[in-house]
Amino acid sequence: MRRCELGIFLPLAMLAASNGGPGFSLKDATGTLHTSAELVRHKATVFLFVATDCPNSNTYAPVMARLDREYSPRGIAFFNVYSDPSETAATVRKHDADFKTPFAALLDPQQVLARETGARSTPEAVVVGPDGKQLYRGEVDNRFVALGKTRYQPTENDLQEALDAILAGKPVAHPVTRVLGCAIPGISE
Amino acid sequence: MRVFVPILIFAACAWAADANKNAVPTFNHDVAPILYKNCSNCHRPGEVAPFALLTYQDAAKRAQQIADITQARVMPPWKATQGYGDFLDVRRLSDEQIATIREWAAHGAPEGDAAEKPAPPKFASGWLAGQPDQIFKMSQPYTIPAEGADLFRCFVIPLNATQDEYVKTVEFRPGNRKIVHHAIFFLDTTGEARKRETVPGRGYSCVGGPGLDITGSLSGWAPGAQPASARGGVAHTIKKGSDLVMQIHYHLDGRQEQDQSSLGLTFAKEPPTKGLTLYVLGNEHIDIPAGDSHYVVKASGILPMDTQAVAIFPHAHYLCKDMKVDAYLPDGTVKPLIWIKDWDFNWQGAYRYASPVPLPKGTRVEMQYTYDNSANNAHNPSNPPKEVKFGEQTTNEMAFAFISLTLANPSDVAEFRRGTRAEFIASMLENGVDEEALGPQRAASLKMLLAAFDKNKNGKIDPDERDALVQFLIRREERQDRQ
Repeated sequence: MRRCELGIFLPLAMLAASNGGPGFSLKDATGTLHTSAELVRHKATVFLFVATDCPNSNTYAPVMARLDREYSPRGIAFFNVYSDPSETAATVRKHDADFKTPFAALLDPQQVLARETGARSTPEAVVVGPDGKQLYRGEVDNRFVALGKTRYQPTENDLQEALDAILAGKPVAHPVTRVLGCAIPGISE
Repeated sequence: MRVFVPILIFAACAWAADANKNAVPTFNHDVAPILYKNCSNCHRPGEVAPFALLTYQDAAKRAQQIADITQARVMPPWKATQGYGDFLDVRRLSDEQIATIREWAAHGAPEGDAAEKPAPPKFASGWLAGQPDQIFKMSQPYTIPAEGADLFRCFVIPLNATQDEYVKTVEFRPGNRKIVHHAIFFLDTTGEARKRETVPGRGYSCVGGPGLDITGSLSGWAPGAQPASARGGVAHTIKKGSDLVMQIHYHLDGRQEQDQSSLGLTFAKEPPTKGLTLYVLGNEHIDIPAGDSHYVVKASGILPMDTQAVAIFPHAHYLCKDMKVDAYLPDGTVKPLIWIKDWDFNWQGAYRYASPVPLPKGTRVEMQYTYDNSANNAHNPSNPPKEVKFGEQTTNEMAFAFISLTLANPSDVAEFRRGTRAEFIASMLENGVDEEALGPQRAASLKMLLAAFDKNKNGKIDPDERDALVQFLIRREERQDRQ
């Protein structure tokens, strides 16, 4: 079924790397266009699916800023992705300024990137390689335990461990982890 | 046939949906009234909840999430188990309301007939109980960081009372509703809080409590709470020279924030006709081995005169999972005062009884709290788990039930306190003197008492020896009070 929907975005899909990685052509909140052609310039690219009104994704703002500081000099690119069609460039700009997000925010109102990567909720992190291959999809860390239950402090930093493995040329130990957060409207069933 | 089966099922479903057309809940007819009454007070712009639940669009895009979180009874947040204490301001959905939301989400969250849409609730701004007689505000804004564990901070504000004053209404106004999770107001007559706040106006860290001998309080606040007005003849007393110690729980939201909260007080013209006191039931002898998933702490006390319970505030830290407090009346009846089965430190608060609970003289109040110090407890601040003892730090534990009691006359308060102190000492002696828990000085003086009143020399105070001991202690306290 997912593949059928991709037909609608055929021109975008054509941009995708040959092995079926995410094809996208999306504007960031400042109006700059980003496409899947950028992937090849980085050792890996992190897409963090977020929402301005999701407390679970908001809580990661300082964590992601720290990861960006630590990993962007080592060849990892970071994007926030807003896949709720009701988010506007203006609200996203204000939100990311308030939360001091140091990297670009992609607006994904057609939910192309969400569908192609399989992200269903915020904050879901997706890491893809230069060839578009998905290397990790899941939680940033394990602080959220169950509905309404948060760990005192995380004991597994899954996203960071994935990035360390990728940079070391090793397979990611847990390439898919579960995410507890807010459903991306219109995506989750 | 293979083709027909799904078609038949589909047709049956369609028929069923048609037949029950009126039964499918809609936002306008069924769900909005539930959300407006129970959720929107916090779930609206500028309040502590992270998103609004006011419009159809607000709710529809989260329909499944709302269904899941209400089904799990995580929201609305209300920890007291139904049937164990009858409380005011209960934030609890009925099973029918939860089922309605679930059905609505399962049917694709329909909006319904626009004509049935209820008007969104109106929320008052400003002081809800009218302009207070006096407003006490944090002297400067306090900055809260973007990240880390939740903060518990005590701010000391002089109340400048030149004589004893009686408070009728207490209303808290959070300076920054996005991050103020709850607040508790203590009174300090010792000047100890001022010493702890080394930089005036900056507050001091107080995870477990204000770190004082708590003699008075002005109750507390949580989002959605209405201003607490004293009930007939009762008033909080502010002793001359008291400081207000405002303990605020800040929930960090991912960005740096500031807060400058205030407390408004309206005073009673007449002195109260009833006494009001805070009864502290607790056990400081806590030593939980690392990994122990079921550690029980008990305490009990006997009320030395006729009382009525008006509120209860159970308190422990992160490891506690279950807390139960019951009153055993002299006539043999058992009155449950509260039972929290999934304690969460971040949702602590005071529970006010719908009507005062009479607890006559001789009532034994018992508490039983259970702790989980295993790695399976996600709230455990230590990973791997460590041995945990009593104390005020995040990595310590506590076991307290603060019960607000009214007494027949204001003048009874002093006698009640003498009686409970005596009872407390007597109950410790019943089980022998625990030197480790008490420290050498207190243990030595208690051993002298034990020796004096332990007539059959069995090393502990038996029930028949207890009365004589309690009377002696009350007389001693009276002498000390007079001096």
